[in-house]
Amino acid sequence: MQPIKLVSSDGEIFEVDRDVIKLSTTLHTMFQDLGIDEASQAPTDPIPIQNVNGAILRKVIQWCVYHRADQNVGDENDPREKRTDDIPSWDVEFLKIDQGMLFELILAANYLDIKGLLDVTCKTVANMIKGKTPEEIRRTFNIKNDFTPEEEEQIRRENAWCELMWKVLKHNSLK
Amino acid sequence: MIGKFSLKMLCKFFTAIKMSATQGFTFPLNVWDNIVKNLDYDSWINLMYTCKFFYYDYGMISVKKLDIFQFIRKPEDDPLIITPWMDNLLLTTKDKIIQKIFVREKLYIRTQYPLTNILPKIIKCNLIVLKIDFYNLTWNEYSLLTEGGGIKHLSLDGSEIQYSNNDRVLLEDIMSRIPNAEYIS
Repeated sequence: MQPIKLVSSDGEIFEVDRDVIKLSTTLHTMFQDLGIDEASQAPTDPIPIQNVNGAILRKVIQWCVYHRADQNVGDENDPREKRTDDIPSWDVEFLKIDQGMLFELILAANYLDIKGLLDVTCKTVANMIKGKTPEEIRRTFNIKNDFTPEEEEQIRRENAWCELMWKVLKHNSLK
Repeated sequence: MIGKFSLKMLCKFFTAIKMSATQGFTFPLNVWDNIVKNLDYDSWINLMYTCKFFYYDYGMISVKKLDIFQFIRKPEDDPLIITPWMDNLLLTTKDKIIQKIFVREKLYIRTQYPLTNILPKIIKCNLIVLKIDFYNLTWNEYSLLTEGGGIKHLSLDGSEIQYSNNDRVLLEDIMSRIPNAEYIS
């Protein structure tokens, strides 16, 4: 089986085995639509991955190469696959990267439709949100506070039962 | 295949337009869905208070006790009213809701009819009590309902948990999902 060439948005070329490519539903579907199967000659021209730069594509390929032999990806009959509170130790080390790269990795996993990578990166981001105030979450994800003071007041009234929590949140972040 | 793929991309496109109309979000909606699925309740509340999109438009309601039963609701007598915060929500298998549901404490399922309208809408559970009467759950459904790990009371009356190939899930696997259970029947 000949490897497939991928070219990142900044022109870096990577040679990737086809069983690694299969982890990307986007690419796998594209090859099927083009009639390229494992017995076919690999395309001579590199496949452009327009939304992903070389640094991120290298990380994506690194993750896919490590997980290429995973037997239970998407196997609903495997009880071990449905935990949402744990991240495999290799992935924890793999995702010890700066926040900007983590976010780009998520967008690349989403674009290439790599479910396992998307799941594990989203779990990592969820862990980042835990324990943060609304204002800290806004800063982290570049979310604009678009509530007017009147709306904040309305929300507070509508949710009187969580008055105490709202006061804490408002004191901490909705200034 | 191409048609399905195109439709999916089109949906993503329109969602992105809607989200970007007021905010420059870091991620598209389907990524936020995946992130929210992994949040605990307090973290979801904090995310919801960050902006109008998560509070008004994201469409997730928080329900303390969800009761799903099989009687037919008479809309004129008992209209279905959905609010962002609900202590109790009674749904029949015929009810169709558009919101996503975060069930916080209790879930009762008392029907033999398929829950295809409702279960896909439950995207997050932090349950303490799970009671199921005469309804067979798939392993995926059971995994979703027990994902918080905080269930203390599990009741399966006339119910089974099955894999997609109809094999029954082993008791030890069922128990592995509820490490804090104090009462099981």
